[in-house]
Amino acid sequence: MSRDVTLAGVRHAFVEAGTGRRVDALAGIDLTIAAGELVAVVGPSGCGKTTILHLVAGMLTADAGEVRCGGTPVTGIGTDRVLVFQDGALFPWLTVLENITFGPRAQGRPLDPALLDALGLTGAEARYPKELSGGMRQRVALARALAVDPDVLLLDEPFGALDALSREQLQGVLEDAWLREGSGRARKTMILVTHSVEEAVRLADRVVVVSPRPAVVREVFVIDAPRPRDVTALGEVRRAIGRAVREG
Amino acid sequence: MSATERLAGAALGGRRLPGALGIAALLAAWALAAARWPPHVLPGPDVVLRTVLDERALLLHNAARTLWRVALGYGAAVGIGLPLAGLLAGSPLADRQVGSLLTLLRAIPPFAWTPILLLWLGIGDGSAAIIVFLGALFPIVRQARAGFAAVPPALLLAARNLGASPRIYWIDVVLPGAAPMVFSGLRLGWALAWMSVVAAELVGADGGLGQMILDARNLARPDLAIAGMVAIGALAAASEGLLTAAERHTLRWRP
Ligand SMILES: Nc1ncnc2c1ncn2[C@@H]1O[C@H](COP(=O)(O)OP(=O)(O)OP(=O)(O)O)[C@@H](O)[C@H]1O
Ligand SMILES: [Mg+2]
Repeated sequence: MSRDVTLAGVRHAFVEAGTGRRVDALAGIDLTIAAGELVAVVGPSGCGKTTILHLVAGMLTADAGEVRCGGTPVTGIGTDRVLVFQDGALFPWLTVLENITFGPRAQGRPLDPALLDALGLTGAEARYPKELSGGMRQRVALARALAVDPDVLLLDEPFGALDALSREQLQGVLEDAWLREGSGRARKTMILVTHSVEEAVRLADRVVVVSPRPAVVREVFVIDAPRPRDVTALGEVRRAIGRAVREG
Repeated sequence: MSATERLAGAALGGRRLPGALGIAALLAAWALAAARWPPHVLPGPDVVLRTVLDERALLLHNAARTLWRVALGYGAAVGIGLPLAGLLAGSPLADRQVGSLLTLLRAIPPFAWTPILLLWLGIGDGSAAIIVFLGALFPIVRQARAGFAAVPPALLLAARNLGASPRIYWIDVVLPGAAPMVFSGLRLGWALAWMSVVAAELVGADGGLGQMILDARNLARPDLAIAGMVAIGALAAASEGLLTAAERHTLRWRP
């Protein structure tokens, strides 16, 4: 089943532990992501992108407004919405295979054997995270989330720390995983937070530009070029998005 | 072991050398001193070695008693200490209410319990094991509690997000995440367990290496007393080596 995600007037503030000061991160986010849609969220550093994902994941609670998934309010963490953390958050004491089977094992299901191959992890099953390159680590993080087969996949700059080549490769892997769901099964709903306008334009159905903190949705761009996309042909929209991000 | 450590080790002519040097120096100093004093005051290493061989049945018997008491007390400290640390880490209420009690109890040296325990339980394995338990419990709880609190929050969130049941959450995430500090508590507890058992046996026990040392003094047998001390040191060091090996194996994932 595929599910939509809506944020309506969502506000969130943090209290700084040191100073006790209130930091308004989100100042009323209104956003609807259709079932099976891939939406990218871009915005300046520290504007509240991670906060948005954590709210949808149920790891944070909104101070005001509402977060819904498939029509029902989000009240906590669930395996229907899985987050790929900004740094991967792999369990360092588990091998690659054990990390990836963590979700299926917890749910008493077998691991989809095609997953390791699809993510280019065959042969690395017995390694520990410390023995992996940054790119491999992100592949494992992605595989671990996909293994749970969630309705909604939340990606927090999953390829942010990678070089251009591995980044492009993994974008392809992600797109393939998303497209593959399309044949027969329902496509996953995906929210991809990224710093890279190019990445957003390459992968997303729509690109949401968020303002600097306290964040609101500044502008939404629809990208309807056929896939796989040639981003060099999308220069105009890339420039427009870049402008929107800079102007906040 | 990192490459630099290996290089440093090679430059020193092997990592074991410094340890062996210390022991050799002690033996040499001991032999020199023993040559100047009469054997009924300070017997030399050769005399003590003879005693170890001649009295091996006695030594083994007493070592087994001591080991048994350590095993009982330490086993109970681990079995109760780790779940207790988990409870303290998981429940702020328990942490507040039980935490202050533990702070108070921790301040009482385990040896201070000896007289009252002997009064209640008499001489035997029970009172010695309880003193071992009290000695080992507090460092184990304290370190494990800190270790549980130090597991990165993102890993805990990820575990719940991936659908971990409470069992998987605690056994496969919290415990391994806390393992480096848990092991440091287990080591501290182990060292204290040995000190506690010998102290307990010196004050009053039926057999055991501590008691044997005391008897040796009463029999004016310094060679037997030193043989007992050597046995205590060797047993504690060997078991500590086992603990280190277990730690290295368990934490092989560490960067
Ligand atoms: N626990 C916290 N306590 C206080 N302030 C916080 C906390 N977490 C986040 N913030 C603040 O909230 C704001 C939004 O944080 P968030 O992590 O969502 O930003 P981001 O857009 O993901 O940034 P980046 O692109 O650098 O990852 C930032 O200004 C940050 O400093
Ligand atoms: Mg972020």
